[in-house]
Amino acid sequence: MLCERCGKNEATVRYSEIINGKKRSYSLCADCAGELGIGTAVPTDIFGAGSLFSGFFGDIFDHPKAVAASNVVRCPVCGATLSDIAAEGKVGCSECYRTFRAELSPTIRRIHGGVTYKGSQPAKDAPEAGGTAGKPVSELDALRAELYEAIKKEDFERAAELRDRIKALEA
Amino acid sequence: MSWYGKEGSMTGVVLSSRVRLARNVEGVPMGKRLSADGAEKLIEGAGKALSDCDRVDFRRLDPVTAAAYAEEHLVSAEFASSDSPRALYKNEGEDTYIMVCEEDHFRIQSITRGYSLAEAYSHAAAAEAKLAGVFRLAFDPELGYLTHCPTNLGTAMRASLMMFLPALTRQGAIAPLARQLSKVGLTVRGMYGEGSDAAACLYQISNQVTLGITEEETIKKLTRLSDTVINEELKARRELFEKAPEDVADVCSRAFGTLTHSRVISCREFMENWVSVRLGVSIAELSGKNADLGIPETLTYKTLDTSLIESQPAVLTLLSGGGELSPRERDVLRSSRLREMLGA
Repeated sequence: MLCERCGKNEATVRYSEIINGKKRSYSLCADCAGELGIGTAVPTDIFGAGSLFSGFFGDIFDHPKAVAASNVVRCPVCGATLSDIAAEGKVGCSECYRTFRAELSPTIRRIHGGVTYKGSQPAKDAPEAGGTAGKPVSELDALRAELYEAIKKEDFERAAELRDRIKALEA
Repeated sequence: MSWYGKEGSMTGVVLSSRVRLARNVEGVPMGKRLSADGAEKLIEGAGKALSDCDRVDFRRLDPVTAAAYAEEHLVSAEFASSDSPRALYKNEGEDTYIMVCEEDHFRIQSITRGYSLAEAYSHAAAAEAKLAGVFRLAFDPELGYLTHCPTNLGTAMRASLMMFLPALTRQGAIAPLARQLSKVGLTVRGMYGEGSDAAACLYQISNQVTLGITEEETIKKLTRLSDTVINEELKARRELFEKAPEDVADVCSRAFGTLTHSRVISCREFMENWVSVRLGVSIAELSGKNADLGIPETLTYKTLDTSLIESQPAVLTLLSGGGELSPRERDVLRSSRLREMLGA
């Protein structure tokens, strides 16, 4: 695939941005990416031995998308970038796990093994009242909430449909 | 009354059981990204959810009282010393404590006396249900409860036992035990000191794994492995006494004498002797009260454990009225309180 900016060179960098919860992705060649400053602004200290959290997130930028996304994609809720998360070793909010799901997955797998959740679910009657109760922040979040409900009700057909829609939106 | 003043099962080895749940609110920033206003809303909302609990506003608490909460193991040391907006909710039964705006939005902690993990879990789960009545808790079907630090994802639960292991410590068995337990996903941590040099021979044994295992499975596993540790410790205590009864009696009697007859006693000296006295009480119990270890039969674990907590610097300062004390003044005060409590 050719670079979407210059249309000449082979695209080697995939760059995503989220603005007002809308995600757009571009494929760029190394030159154009360099000119736009994409992929070059990753703080080097996160790889350094001095980084307290390199144990958790030292490999975060192994993910091919991650370097390009490190400073560009921001979590729509808290504004954290992947670089912020790597530097701190902690996410900025629960939405970060969704925004950076693909990039965080290898780290989570390394910490916990390739397992999925088993255990209790939050109480069902969680209201939207109470002021601080978060509302779905994006279409993706709403779909995920629906998926969770479908799984709880064991409506697997609906769950599969929702999963496909989420995947399509995330792609 | 806090956990240490209560009765419980197997207190000869297990001082307390604790279950801690980390919970966050969907769509609300965490840690340093949480605004003061956001923190305030969490604190207020928690107050609505936990209407049966008393609120302690840690921002307005004096540092000694805050540190005393940590010494009682009711809040984390980080929570006690932080300067950001935060509050503690504690229930009337004094078995459940909810830290608001710790590392996670909520750290629900239930502490029960003795060996009672299932009970601790049920208290913590009840508090969680109350919070879920006001807040939409951050949850993902694949990752479980979403936490500030990814190491806690999943059940976001740490279940732990505070264990008194003087005989295994003496045998040098703690380090190999810790290695074995780490292979099956449990952590052993020395309290009141580092690693195997835990001055009070108190250790916290807890689960490391939170993803891919249910809360019930976690508790069952911790219980099954802790049963083995408890049995090994009891066996080692019996062996210790059978091998050298006079020496054990000598050490225990002298330790009791030090605790009840000193006029100036440091925290370290107190703890070393406390270990021998607590061990003596247990050995007397194991031998069917036939062993004369120079410790009155009326001395209970409840009194001993209360003396442990009340000998810590901040709690001790608070009990004397809260005014600033020099280390020397504390050592004098500690010895006089010990004489009163242990009944010499």
